[in-house]
Amino acid sequence: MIHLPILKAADRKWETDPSQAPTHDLKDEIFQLEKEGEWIVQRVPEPYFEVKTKYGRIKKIPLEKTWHHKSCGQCGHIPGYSTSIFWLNRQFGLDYHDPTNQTSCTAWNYYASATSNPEAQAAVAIRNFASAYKTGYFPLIHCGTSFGHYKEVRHALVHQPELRRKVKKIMDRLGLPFVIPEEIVHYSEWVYAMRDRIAERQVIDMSHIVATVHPACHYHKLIEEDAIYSEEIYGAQRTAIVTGTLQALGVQVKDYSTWFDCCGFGFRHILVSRDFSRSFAVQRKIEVMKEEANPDVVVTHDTGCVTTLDQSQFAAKAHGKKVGVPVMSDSQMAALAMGAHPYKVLQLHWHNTNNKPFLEKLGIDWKKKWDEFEAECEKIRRGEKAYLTWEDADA
Amino acid sequence: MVERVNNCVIPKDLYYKVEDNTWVKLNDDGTVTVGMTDIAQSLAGPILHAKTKKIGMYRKRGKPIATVESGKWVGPIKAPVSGEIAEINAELENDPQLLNKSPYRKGWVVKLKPDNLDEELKDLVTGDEAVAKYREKIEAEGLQCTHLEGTDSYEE
Amino acid sequence: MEFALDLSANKYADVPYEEKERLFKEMKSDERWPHVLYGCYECGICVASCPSARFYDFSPRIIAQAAAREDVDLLYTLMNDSVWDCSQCFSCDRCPRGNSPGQIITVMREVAVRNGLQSAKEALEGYGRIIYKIMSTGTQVSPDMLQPNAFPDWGGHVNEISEHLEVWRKALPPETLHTTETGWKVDEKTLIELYLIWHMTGVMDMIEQIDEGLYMILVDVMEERLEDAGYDVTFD
Repeated sequence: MIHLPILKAADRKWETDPSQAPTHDLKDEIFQLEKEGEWIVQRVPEPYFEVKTKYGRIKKIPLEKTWHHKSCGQCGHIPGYSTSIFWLNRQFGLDYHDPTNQTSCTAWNYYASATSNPEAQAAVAIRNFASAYKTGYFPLIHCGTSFGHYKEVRHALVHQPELRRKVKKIMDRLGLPFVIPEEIVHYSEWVYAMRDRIAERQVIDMSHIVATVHPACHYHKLIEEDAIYSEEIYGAQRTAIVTGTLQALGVQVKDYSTWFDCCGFGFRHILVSRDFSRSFAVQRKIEVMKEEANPDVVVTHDTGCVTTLDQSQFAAKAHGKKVGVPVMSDSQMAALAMGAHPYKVLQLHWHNTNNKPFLEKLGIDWKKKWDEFEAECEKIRRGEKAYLTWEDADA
Repeated sequence: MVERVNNCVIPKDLYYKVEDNTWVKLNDDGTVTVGMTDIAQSLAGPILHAKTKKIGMYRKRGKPIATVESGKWVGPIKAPVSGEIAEINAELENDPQLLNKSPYRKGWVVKLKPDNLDEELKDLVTGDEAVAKYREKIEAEGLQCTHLEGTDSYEE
Repeated sequence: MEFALDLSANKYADVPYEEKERLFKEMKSDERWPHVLYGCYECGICVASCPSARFYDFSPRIIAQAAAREDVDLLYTLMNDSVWDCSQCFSCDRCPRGNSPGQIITVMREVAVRNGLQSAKEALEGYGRIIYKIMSTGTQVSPDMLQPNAFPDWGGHVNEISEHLEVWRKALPPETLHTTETGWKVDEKTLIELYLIWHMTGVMDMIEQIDEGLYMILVDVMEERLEDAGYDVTFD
């Protein structure tokens, strides 16, 4: 394996200038189509944060009144990820909605099997957006794949009138309005925008923690201009997402030579061609991270990435490979920093790679915390309570 | 009464739709009991869910009477003969692995009130003919049956 | 997929050229084609960033090249032997020409599925339960899919999860997550809307080409639920 040297950023200061952007602003076209009566554009509710994207354009990130578009893999297999996002919102007393009239974006299936088509994918997207619009809450997307996919769908709908016509017909049949949100916002963008406020409420010191960041391909490679970049972070040469959040928490973010590499999720591969996912996750990502940065934790912001990087390490132990780094999301890290319970909120028992040494390093008595969680589970088993509630989670 | 081909169990007293891997048992009261074969359970692997259609539903032969899910596979159990669903095996909801361990007895799926049995039975096979057809299929596809612990021994 | 990619056109020499051309025309007439393919000058930037290129005998450059040169024979070979290796990460979208080899592949895959190619069926073997789950419940994976026999390479941890599944799912604060058969609680009305989308966009026809048994149970479930909701809709 060839280790590429990590090149230091040049001293020249990079300034983004939207007037020099190689693409025109899609928002102009989106609003123009609204003027022409093609669709309704749901505005970002106030108050909102303003962040810069790749070419220096401003993106609006809502503070609250968000409709949480959940992630299949998170809710299905690593539910602490979703739980931590809701918990953060609750800690700040923010008004949010967790819908039951939401379907999957169905993009995992689309990228895995192609047993769908652009019309179906666009209709699924707009159906979800319409459902959000009807509640008056603004969609906040939990999954990286959903985010990238919806950016693609938005792009296709703006440029293909025939596709718009087909989707409108479907929405009419369903009795739903043809709505597109003003921005497609990923939850990690909200966490990034909130990072200083989160840091203000930080109770767990993370200044001695080293982390490596893995940016999700579908966050910053699909419709690459719509991703957060900042001159203060990586000199705007790489997306600022996740890194910005961790730095605000005092975490030492260390670089490694395969930063831009995909984790190997592959959509279909993680289920049916697993040697690929496993090899890629371990040999191109985890081992390189461990050798070059020796992190205490790997932090990412997408369902597939957490799953692939976390689960792939088990089989690699059979070869005595250099693995064994816990993996979690930026929302779980942020929640942990604010004192969230590692099991009642972060639900770390659903994660595979051993995270107990990491918790110990943070001074968290995981044994005691686990006993607390187990006690709640016992109550559920005995029928004393039906569920673990939000009140229980913070007790 | 029970033949084994490549470890696959084939009771000779049942009627089979070989292509669909289903069996039919003729009951004295005119109903038929229907289920999936040992080969089917082996191909599916340990079954996680079995959902039957509702009582009272009429099913033309070939239409699903149940959906079966294993770790990575999902598929129909197709009605080998047409009829109204008279009874369903409620045990399957709590213990879907009955389909693996006892596909011909405790793992029965539904009972049908057939409305064209005499005609449709002509398209099914039984006894030695069934065993011969299955042997053909098993050898052509290179099948070997595997069984979970606690499977019926069929020794009586 | 594990063996060297045969670009000689010998492998599918017995397939009539008209058939290969028909499939190519289907790709080319897709609405996306002119937006994802402008021409390829073989710089190889896509290959350099492609994870599948490191693991399989796979090249997004060859695919973009074949598409740009309209090499009907080569495209047929690639549609059968190559496209399913792509991990759909879109690292190749950094193409300086503005092509998207990943999306060219998406179009090719859809053509393969719609035409029921054997290679597509084989690529999707073992994936049927996922299709059933997403199409019928509106969530891609469910908690009860975490079974050791489905994920043996994830270790004993999966055993632990499946043993405690029911209680652990109840020990989740968000109310919508108290489920085991679906990722989260989905309204009946939402499911009906989803089924209508599948119906109106021809997605079920695509699935029929890939797996008849799967198609049968899906259509059965959907027709029944649509009927209960008062819609007179059949998929045939």
